Amino acid sequence: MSVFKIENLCYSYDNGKNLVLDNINYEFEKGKTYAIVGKSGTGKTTLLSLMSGLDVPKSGKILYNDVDISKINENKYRSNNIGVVFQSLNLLPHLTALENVELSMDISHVKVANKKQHALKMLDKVGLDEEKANRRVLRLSGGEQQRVAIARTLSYNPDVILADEPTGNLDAVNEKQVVQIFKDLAQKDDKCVIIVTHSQNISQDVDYVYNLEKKKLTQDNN
Amino acid sequence: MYIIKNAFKSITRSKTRNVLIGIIITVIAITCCIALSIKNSANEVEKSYLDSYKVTAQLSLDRGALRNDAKGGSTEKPADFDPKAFMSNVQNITPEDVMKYGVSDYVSSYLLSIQTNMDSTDLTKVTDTVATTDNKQIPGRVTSIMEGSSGDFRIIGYNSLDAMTQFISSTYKITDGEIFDIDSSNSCVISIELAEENSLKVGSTFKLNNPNNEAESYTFTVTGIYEDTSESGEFSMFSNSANQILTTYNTLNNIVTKSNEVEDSKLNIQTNATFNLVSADVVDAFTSELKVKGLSDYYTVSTNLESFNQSIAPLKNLSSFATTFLIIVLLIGGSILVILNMLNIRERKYEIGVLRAIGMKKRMVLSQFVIELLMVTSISIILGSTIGSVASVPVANYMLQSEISSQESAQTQVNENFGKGPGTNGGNQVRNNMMSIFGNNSNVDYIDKINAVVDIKIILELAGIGIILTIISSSISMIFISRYTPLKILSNRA
Ligand SMILES: Nc1ncnc2c1ncn2[C@@H]1O[C@H](COP(=O)(O)OP(=O)(O)O)[C@@H](O)[C@H]1O
Ligand SMILES: [Mg+2]
Repeated sequence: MSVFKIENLCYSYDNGKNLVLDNINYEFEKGKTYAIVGKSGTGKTTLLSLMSGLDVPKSGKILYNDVDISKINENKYRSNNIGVVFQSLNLLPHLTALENVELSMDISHVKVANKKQHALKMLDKVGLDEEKANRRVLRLSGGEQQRVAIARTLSYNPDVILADEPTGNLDAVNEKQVVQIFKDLAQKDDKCVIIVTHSQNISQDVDYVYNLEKKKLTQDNN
Repeated sequence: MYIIKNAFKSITRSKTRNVLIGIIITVIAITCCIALSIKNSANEVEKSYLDSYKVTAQLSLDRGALRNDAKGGSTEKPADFDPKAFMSNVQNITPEDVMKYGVSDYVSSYLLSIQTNMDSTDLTKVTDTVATTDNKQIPGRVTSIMEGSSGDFRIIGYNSLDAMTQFISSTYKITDGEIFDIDSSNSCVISIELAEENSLKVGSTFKLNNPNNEAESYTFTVTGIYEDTSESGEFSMFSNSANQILTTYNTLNNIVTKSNEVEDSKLNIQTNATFNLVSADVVDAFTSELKVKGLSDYYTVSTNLESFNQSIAPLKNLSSFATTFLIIVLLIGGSILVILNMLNIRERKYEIGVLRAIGMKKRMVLSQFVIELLMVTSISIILGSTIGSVASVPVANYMLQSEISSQESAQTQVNENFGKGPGTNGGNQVRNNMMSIFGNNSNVDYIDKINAVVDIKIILELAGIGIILTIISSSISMIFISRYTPLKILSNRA
């Protein structure tokens, strides 16, 4: 059974003048990694906004566990069911890495004995030690900030993880490490990981690649 | 609740923004605190002034109405109607009437004076070609028509020093000796003109006799000599009071009673009365009581509340000035705060977008912003009201002090008019009277009262202002937070 499903999805900007996504269909399963690959401006971020419930399709459906996400409480859906690593990361600059993770846990009402310890564990999982965890996010490098954003989504244990250009600003070494984190999440924690990227490198490391071109998402099995 | 923790972090980590808002609210709080305390202390002084203000009532005959009705008026008169008899049927007020009216729950005390004319074999009347010594009617006073009066000297008897209004209003002033003791008999004060004409000094004695019966004579002792500072008649060298002798009510009343013992020698008297009422609220009740006790409908009851309203006018002005000031400060301060908050929220749009994108509910985001505002506002108001109450005490005290010192100088003047030094006990009755007019309080009591007002009432009012400011600012946040979807905010930034 697929955890996530896109059915006949269409989206356009400017009152239909700029058709970006045209009749897109696909299914995503738990324990697998997916890459949605397309050149800049093909509508990757738009698709991710729709999948994360920040925007609504013009037509078609997005199903989470076979329920149309428009029928799910948007706050609950965003804070518990899916984890999104935004292209712009969306970390709060006045907080430390640890506090960013803890805030997300607060919003998601994560029930753990020791919140701080859990947050530190998530940060450790993406390779950030306690010293870095206690830094304000602006004092961390781009790769480290990327990891904080990933740790934040992991903290409330969602089924689906969406990431928008997660390696866009990273060097080759960091890129490899981040991709490995995503692969581990799918394999060890049985997550459904969906990465949106223009990078061909990532395609080689994931289970499935979808090419988002000519306004259609076409499947391309590895 | 995590939003409180979050709000606290947000405040402490964006100091400049919050310090700016804090300073503005503090300034608003200081000025509001001062304005409120001035307003409240002015109201307080006014209230205690009214509580202790001696409301007085006087009776006056409405001669116009009486004459009009006597002439025929509007109603049909019987054929045998006699205007003269009708006029004389309206009784003059007698000292007995005054005493009867004065025994009332509404009256705390009454001032009574009677006057008549007498002759003297010892004294020479002060005259010049145009000098007039006839009975001038004092407006608003009960006066009876002096029928066939004779006698060169006008003699007036008072039941209390407070009844000697010319001394209290500084029209008369003792220049030598002092005022008689109100319990003494046959002592008097005379005008400086009369003293000079007859070479009388403090301690001199002279005789007065009944003009209707020369055998009936009385000896008076001079305790003081007064000067009339009012304008005399245009062509007169002398004041209107030149041939006037002032004494106690009991002294003159005894003389009048005696005069009645011999047939046809009765002295005609004229009665003045002022009733001190217990409060401003009893005026109507007292008026109807007088009618029940038999006061003719041709008499009207007038009070000094008009002059009370005049005397509190500066306080009222101060209070309304403070209110206007308060409103202006709130309007300007409120607008600045609203603009600052709009800028603040715009600046924090990204933060709102992030919080919403990671699943924080709208009302939670709003609550966090409101809590932040409340924290900054309450700290600023506590700070501002502390500074404000410290600053407002000198302001309020200054205001009170000038109030009190003008009252004190008025008191000193009254003592001098009676020929008493400011420190002597002589004018005690008057001084007590004045003190009770001005609140019967020492200066310290006044200041204590104002401090108490600052403590409770103003703090509550300031808290109210703080809540209003927070609500206004929060509604701005609410509009922004509801209007922007996280997608809009985040994609605008990207
Ligand atoms: N808010 C918007 N309003 C109008 N057009 C938009 C908006 N966001 C994106 N677009 C357009 O939609 C297309 C897809 O954009 P986007 O989804 O950001 O592509 P990608 O993430 O693949 O680079 C682009 O042509 C872009 O110009
Ligand atoms: Mg993009």
